Amino acid sequence: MENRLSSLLEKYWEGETTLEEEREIKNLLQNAEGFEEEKKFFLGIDIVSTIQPNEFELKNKIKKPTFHWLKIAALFIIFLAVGSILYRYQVKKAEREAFEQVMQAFNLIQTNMQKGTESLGAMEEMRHLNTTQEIFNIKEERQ
Amino acid sequence: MKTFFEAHIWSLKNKLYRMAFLWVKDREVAQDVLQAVFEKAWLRKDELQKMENPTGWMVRSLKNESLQHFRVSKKFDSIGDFDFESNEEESHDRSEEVKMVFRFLESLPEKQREIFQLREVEGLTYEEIGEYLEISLDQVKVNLHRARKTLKDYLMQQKNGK
Repeated sequence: MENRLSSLLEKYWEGETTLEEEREIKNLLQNAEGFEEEKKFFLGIDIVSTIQPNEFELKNKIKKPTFHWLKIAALFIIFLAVGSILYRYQVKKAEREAFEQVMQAFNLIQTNMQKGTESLGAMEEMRHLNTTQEIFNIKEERQ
Repeated sequence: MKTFFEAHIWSLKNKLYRMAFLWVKDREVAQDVLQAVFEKAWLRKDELQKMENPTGWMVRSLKNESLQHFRVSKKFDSIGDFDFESNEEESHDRSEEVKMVFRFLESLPEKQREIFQLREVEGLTYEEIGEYLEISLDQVKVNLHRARKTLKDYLMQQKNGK
């Protein structure tokens, strides 16, 4: 085992080992006698390789959804405003139409009233006559 | 299904944190540096997706952010001048073994230190290291070889120093 370790270490110092051989060196060192400095150094490397950062989130990434929600909220407000304007317009339109219909009805009544009143004008002459007999001289005809 | 950012950028989080930590030697600062880099990356995620080597961009950005931290704090002229001993907080990081690793890394030139770190701590292949640091395969091999030669001498000195 120690021969294998020594030969691997020689290759290692020359920079000729593969990643797999370098892993083998670390494994062999764990059970080898001697090589105290090498053991200490590679243990230090192992400790450093386990160091990790604290969890963190990207501020810019977090801001983006907020902006997204703001956009949705803005769109919602715009829809509400447009909806409200359209609703008011529809109500006013309906009121105007109803008013126009009523006015047309009044106009019709007025026109008909006028026609009726005009036709009654002919009767105006006869309003001094007392009876139907007077109008048509019924007595004379009987005679 | 994972997005490009989750699969290729967010997944680098732990490795980049350790890189930053080994540069700045302070967990809190490393965390701030990491977060700042990821905030920038998120804003440029579409651009990153079109890049040939987004990992290289992330490492470069991490290095710039670490240097920026030193410039702002005005305490240090370069990453290499950092006083490791006075900046340890976690007992985990104060172990003799970790100190030994840090002291060795401090003794290496910048390029060798980065390559050695990516190989030994992160277990990356030569190709991956080249991608991370945007350098050729030959540069990776040569620098790693030199770093290991230095490590051999360093461990020998430690042994003889006892």
